[in-house]
Formats: sequence, structure tokens, C-alpha cells
Amino acid sequence: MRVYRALGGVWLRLACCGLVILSLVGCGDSGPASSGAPTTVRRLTQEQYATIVADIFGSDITIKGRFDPDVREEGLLAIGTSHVSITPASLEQYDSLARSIAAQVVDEKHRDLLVGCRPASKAAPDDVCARQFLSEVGRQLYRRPLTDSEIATQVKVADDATRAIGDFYYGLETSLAILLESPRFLFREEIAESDPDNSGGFRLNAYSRASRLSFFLWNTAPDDALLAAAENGDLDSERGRARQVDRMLASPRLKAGVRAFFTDMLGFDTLGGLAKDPQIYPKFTATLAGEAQEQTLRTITDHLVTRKGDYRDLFTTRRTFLSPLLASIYQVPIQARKGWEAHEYPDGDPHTGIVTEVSFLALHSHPGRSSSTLRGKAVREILLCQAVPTPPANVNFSIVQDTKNTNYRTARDRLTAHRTQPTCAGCHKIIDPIGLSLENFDGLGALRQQENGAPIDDSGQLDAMQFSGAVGLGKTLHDSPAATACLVNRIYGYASGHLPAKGEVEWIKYLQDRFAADGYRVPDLMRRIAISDAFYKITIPPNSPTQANSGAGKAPSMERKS
Amino acid sequence: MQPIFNLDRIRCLTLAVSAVGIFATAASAAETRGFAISWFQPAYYAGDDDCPAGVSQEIDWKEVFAKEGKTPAEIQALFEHPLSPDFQKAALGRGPHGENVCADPASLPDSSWKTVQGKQAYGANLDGTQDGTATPNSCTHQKFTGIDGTPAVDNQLYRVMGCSKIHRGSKAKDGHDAFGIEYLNERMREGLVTYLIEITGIDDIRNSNNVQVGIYQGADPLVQDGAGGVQADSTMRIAADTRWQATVRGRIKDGVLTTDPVDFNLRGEAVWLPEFHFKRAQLRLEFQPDGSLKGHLSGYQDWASIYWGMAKTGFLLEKFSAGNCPAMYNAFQRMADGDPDAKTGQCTTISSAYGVEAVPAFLIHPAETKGNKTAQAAEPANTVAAR
Repeated sequence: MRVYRALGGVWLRLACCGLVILSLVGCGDSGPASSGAPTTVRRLTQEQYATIVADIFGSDITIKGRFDPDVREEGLLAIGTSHVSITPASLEQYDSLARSIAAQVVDEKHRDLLVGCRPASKAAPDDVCARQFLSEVGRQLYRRPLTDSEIATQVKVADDATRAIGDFYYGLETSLAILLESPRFLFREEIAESDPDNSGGFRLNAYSRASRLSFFLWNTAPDDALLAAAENGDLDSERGRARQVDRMLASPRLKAGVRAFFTDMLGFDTLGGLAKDPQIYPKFTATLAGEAQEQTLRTITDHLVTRKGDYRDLFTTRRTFLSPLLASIYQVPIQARKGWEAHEYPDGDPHTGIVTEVSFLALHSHPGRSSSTLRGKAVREILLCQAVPTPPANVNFSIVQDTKNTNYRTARDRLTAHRTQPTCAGCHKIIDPIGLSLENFDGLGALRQQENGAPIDDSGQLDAMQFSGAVGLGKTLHDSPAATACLVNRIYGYASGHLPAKGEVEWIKYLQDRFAADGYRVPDLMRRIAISDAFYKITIPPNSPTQANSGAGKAPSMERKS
Repeated sequence: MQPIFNLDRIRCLTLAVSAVGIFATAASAAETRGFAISWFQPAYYAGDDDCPAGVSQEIDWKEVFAKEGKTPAEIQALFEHPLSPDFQKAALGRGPHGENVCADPASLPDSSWKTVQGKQAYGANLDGTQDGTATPNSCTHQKFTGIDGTPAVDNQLYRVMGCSKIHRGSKAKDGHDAFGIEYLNERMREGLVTYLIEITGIDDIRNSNNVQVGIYQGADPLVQDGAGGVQADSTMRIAADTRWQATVRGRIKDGVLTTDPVDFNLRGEAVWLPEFHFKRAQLRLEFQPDGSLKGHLSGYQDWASIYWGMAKTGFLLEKFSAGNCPAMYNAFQRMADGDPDAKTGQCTTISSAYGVEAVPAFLIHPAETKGNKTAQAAEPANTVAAR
């Protein structure tokens, strides 16, 4: 038996190595140790809420209402969501939404399909049917099985309401509404448990792992297969997780996850509030802002997911997608009368990469003029993860704001004059030269050759690299190690809900190296993160009440926030 | 440092596409530009002395009914329900034998319609004369002086309709606020109809001796921009039906495009005019700094069609638009100045001018529309215009 056991161990190791060969990033390549970070309690975003409701009840359930705005921290809303609460006003919104959704689920149009069982009498309680429905829906909403106590409470609520009104479905509606406005649904509560492979250490429990995984890859709650994997222990090992991760990476829903990440990273939440002076930019409308976001997300998902392309090529790609409205801004003909059409710019065209799309150029401009400063700052902060200090309070902006001054006809002229102020020079010299390379695009993103009749000088500089125009900037970003390192930092922060902790630095460096070795393929990076042990490691802050081995059903513990 | 790219490259690229077009041989080194008409309405000048007797007013129905022999009690009864069928029947049936005067306007000779007495108008010299003397293609008429000083301008449509209450705008707005003539323009800008212009063979945007100008019905509605205007640089398909397509030679001199006379048709809209049938029409359009065009389309139109376009609303025209069917018909007959009938000598068309503005657009000819086999068969042209 010992021999067999030993041989078994060898076979296991060989099998494991075989998986390494078969898979680009398999087990046995887990990288340096990571300390992990404290658990988080993250509020669902409006998109996540809507997606989950659609996943469970179908897309014909109407969701009316707006949530409180999310908070961006460390460059990501995903991190900010762990530092927000629910205000009394938004609680009313959640309550109203929950009642509206619950009413639709049990109405005559939907009940036969969505409830899944029929009561013995429509006018009387039916514990069997109520228990079946509420336990199943509760498992999906709470992203874990309900405890016996929770089920009993929900069934009692349904029974009481049924008796009060004499309508079984009203009872279900009442109980479902309570589930939908519970903090256990509205917050992604992470629960830690002792790590059996790391004495004294902690890791996320299986359901928290499933949630972190699902929101990371699909931006929604775990599906039934993933919850089942959590239930049967498949998510305890890298190999088990790899099975689930590979299933999820192969799903069309991966695009939703990638879109959600880049929507967050690129700050597209602010596009909805973007305003332009209609006299200067008459082509700008709210519709255009939405289409600009869609263009960039289509470009990204096509390149990264469909074509499995190199992340760096997003800064140089000539392939994109156009709507008729966007085509008029880019001044190219389009065959599509509505919807989207794939488009590839010819060699030599200045439209190269996502920084030359309206979503970037218009978002990082002023309402009535372009802004080399805002664009340069955005490149540093969003694409390179570099902090740019805020300007001092007493800055005189009169020169840069006066676009009609005949002494300073171009943005370069105005910024050069502005930089003569010593308090401004320090920051502007590290951000303006980046944005000046994009001055051939106006404040909306349309090409131009001149400003106020003067030719535009589009030379630019990023640190020691000097270049010309958008093409040069794209190539510089493509070749910048800071850009790819930033992507790794951001995607890990997005997935985990926190900035990399001190004890995770080596792990992040390892991810950056592997990202390069994997050809900068983002799905491969996501896979490496998702199957790793490090992604689920938890540290318990000193003096924090432990939740280790706590199991399911605990209320959100705000003290556990990082 | 010079920009590494400019819009001229787009144009050069476009030329590579248009090189296979029907005009490629003559314009292989030249530029093509496309436009969508963003403003199109009758060009009615609003001078101070145009209408010394005032503008048209609603008919005095009591006087009409009295002349018809109705008693005061009958008239009072009619006025208790001024929109009733009885009122309408009495109002329109004022022909000598009870004819409906909108349907049979010749039945009631009426020369009371107020016409423009001013000396200035928009338009062009369409008949080639300096004094409006009759020619084989025209009837004797009075000439205007153009607003820009152009001598011997013909615009008899303005002379007929310029004192209509609903067609007369204010001088301050250059006539652009006239409800009656805004109608077509507004419907066009809302997307009902689209008119396109394509200029091929441009050697120099300021001066080109020989260009070809295409005038087309568009197949796509205009797109409104965020400032309420028509969006520039949209891609617009040319309608496949060759009835709505015409090409004509033109020239650009000092940034002003003018064309030779050409006959062409455009679809209109139901209230003003369902179809435009222009004869010997000319474009005069000036290139603007932003790349758009602004100017006029001048030409003869079948005046009866214009009359019937308005008269088909019958009572509505007379009651609410200060119209008068037989008087307007009579005025059209008297003022018509083009295409005399071979037998009667009565001119069948009337000179007119329309204000035109056009924004740059990409035009797709029918043959280029994917999957449009009908269009391919109808029109082999294959050019794309760029701004």
C-alpha cells in the first residue's frame, strides 16, 4: 500500500506537470507566497444588481430606479464599493425596487415559470412550495445556501402575509422583497475561514471564493454550477478552480466581465455626465457619449477576448467599431445605417488605439476646448497608474482658458506661457507633453490640422521618450512597462476590491512577469489570478473580531473592511 | 513640427475610391465632395416696400355669404358653427354656379390677390433677358434686382406668394420665420426627405473650371446635431430611383459654385408640394469656411402643381392661412413667366428661388450599398464623396 501511495503521489505530480504542459498556466506554477489582505464587504453596483436579477428572473423583469453613485478610490470603483454604505434615501430606492421586482416575479404572467411550484390553494399558505421557491431563490441572491433558520424565517413571513391578505402569491412576494433588500444580497460579504494549508492563516470560504471569482470573470453572482462547485469542495484546490475558471473563460459572459473591468478602469462612469458646449461641438449628444463608450468596449473585447490579442496593442490597433454617429466625428463613410460596423483605419492614419477614440479624447477635455493637461493626466493616472498632484488653489488659469488670445493661438502656446508660473511648471512638465501629442484631436475627438489658424505641433514626450502625434504616443504606451504593470495592478485591485497589500507585492510582481511571458493576454492573466491560492488568502487585521470558521449567514461585518 | 496627418489625406484616400466612378477619367486628380442639404425653403425676401396694401387677410365670409343671397339669420346660423360642413360648403361653393372655388378656381375670376410690389428678390436671371420681354421660353413679366445687386432677377413665385400672410417672414429674420414656407424645411430637417449634392472634379476649392454636380434624393433621413442643426459628415445613401437623380456641369469661381441649367425632380412633402419638378434650374452656392455651402437654387416650376399643393387643403387654406383659392390661381396665371403653352400662350411654369444650405456628408451611390441588387442594377455609379 505504501508503494501504491508513493506511486500515487508520483502519478499525481506527473499528472500535475502534464496539466502545466497542456495549459499555459496550470497548477504547480503558483508563484511566490502572498499574505492576502483583509476581507471586504462590497456594495453591488447598479449593473451587477440588474444582471443578477436578470440572471435569476429573466430580462423582462423591469428594474426602475437609480442607486447612489459609487465612489472611486485608488483609481477604481471596485475598491470604492467596499467603502460605501446605504443612505436612508437609497434604502427607499432599494425597498421600492425590491417590491417592484417581487411583484413582477409572482404576477400572473411570470409565476408559473418563475415560482416553479403551485400552491395547493392560492388563498392559503403552502409551506412546501414557499420553502422550495424561497430556498432556491435565496441561494442565488445570497450567493450561498440559506441556513435553516433563514429559510424558516422567510417561510413564516410568507405564511403570515398570505394569511393577512388571503393570497399565497402575495405572501411569496413579501418574502421575496425582503430577500431582495437584505444586506446579504446588496453587499458582497466575504467570509474567511482557517486555511488548512497554512497553519494560522486564513482564506475565503468556498462561497466567498465563488463570489469573488464570478464577479471578477462575469460581473455577476455565481451560477448554479459554480455554487455547486463551492458546495462540493471543488473550489478548495487550484485544479478544481481551474475547471470552473476554464468553463467561465470559455463562456460568452467573459466579455461582460472584461467590459465591466475596463468600464471601471477607464472611468466610463463619468461619461454619462459629460457635457459639451453645443455651439462648439454640435455633434455631441448624450447618445454620442453612450456610443463612444460602446465603441471602446467593443474594441477592447474584440481585441482581448475574441482575438486573444496582446494588451499593449490596444494602444496601437487600427481596428475598431463605428456607429453612424461616431463615423461622422471620425469623418469616415460607413455602410451601416444603424448599429455597429467593424472598421480598420489605413496605415498612417492617426487613429491608433483607444486613446484616439472619442471616449478618451472627449472625456478628458473641457466642455469647449481640448485639454492637453487633462489628457496627459489621464494617461499618467489611468493607463500608467501614476499619481499626479492636484493643482494649488491659487492657480491663475486665465491664459490657458483664453482660446481666442491671438498671442497664444494653440494649446501649446498657451500652456508654454502658463508654465512660466513656477507653481504650475512642476506638474505640467510631466503631463502636458503627453497630451500635446493628441492636440490634432479637438475637444470632442475630431481631427483638426490647425487651431485658430495656426498649425498644430503634435510633438510629445513621456518621460525620456520623445515622439510625434497619436501614433507616437500609442507606440510609446505599447512599449511602456509601466502600462502593463498598471494593468496588472488594476485588474488585481478590481478583482480583490483592494490595493495590493504589502505582503502581496511579490505576488503582483510575479503576475506582471507572467503577464509578459503569456504575451500580455488578459484572459490568461485573469485565469492565473482566478485559480491561484493567493487570490483567496485573507489576513486578519489586529484587534479584529475573527470570522474564521464562521460559516454562512453572518451579517456584514463592517469592522472587517480593509 | 508638422502634423503627420491632415484631412487632405482623407480626401486623397477618397479619390482612390472614386477613381472607379463614372467621372474618374475626367477627374482622376481631382477631389469629390458630398453634401447634405440642411436648409431648403422658398427664398422670399422681406423688404419694407413689398406689400404696400398689406398682407393677405382671411376672407370676409359674411360678405361672401351675403353675396350668395343668404339671409342674416342664415349667416348667423352658419357662424355658430364656423368649422361645420355647412359653413365649409357655403364658403367654398362661392362659384357662379356653386362651384367649389378651390377645386375649380377658374370658375370665379378674382384678381384681388396681393402681389409683391417691391423691387428686390432672391434668385437668378433665368430667361436671359434684362427686361422680362417674352421669349420662346418665357412670357412677359417684371424683373427684380437681386439682393446682392444682380440685375434682372426672375422670381415670380415670390411675386405671387410674397404678400401671403403665412408666407411673409420678417426682415430681421431674412424671411426665415415665415410659417408657411418653413413647413417643408422643418419636415426635411425632421427626416421626411433628404436632398444631396455631390461635386466631382474639384481641382481647387476656390477655382475649378469644370466640375460635375450631382443633385440627388437621399435614402436616409437627416441627423440632427446637439445644437438643433443638421449633423455634418454623416454618411448618406443616394436613393436608387433615377427619377430623383440629375447631374449637370458647373464651375467654381472665387469659391462660388454655379451650374448650367438643368431639369430635375425631387420628392417634396404632402402639404407644400409632393414633388418638385424644376426646369432650367441653376445652383449658386458659396463655399463657407467650415466646408458647408450656402446659396440658392433658382429655376422654373410647374405653377399649377404649386397651386394644387396648397389648394388641396381647401377650406383650411382659406380659413386659417389667409388664402383665397381663385385669387391665388388667378395671380399664378397672370404672373407665370415660363414655358408658354404652344396653343394658348399661357405660361405653364413660374420662376422661383429656394434658399439652400448644405453640410459636408459622405455619399454612397446605390451600387455601393451592400445587398441592394435593385440599386446596383439601376445605377452603376460607384463614388464616395468626402468633405
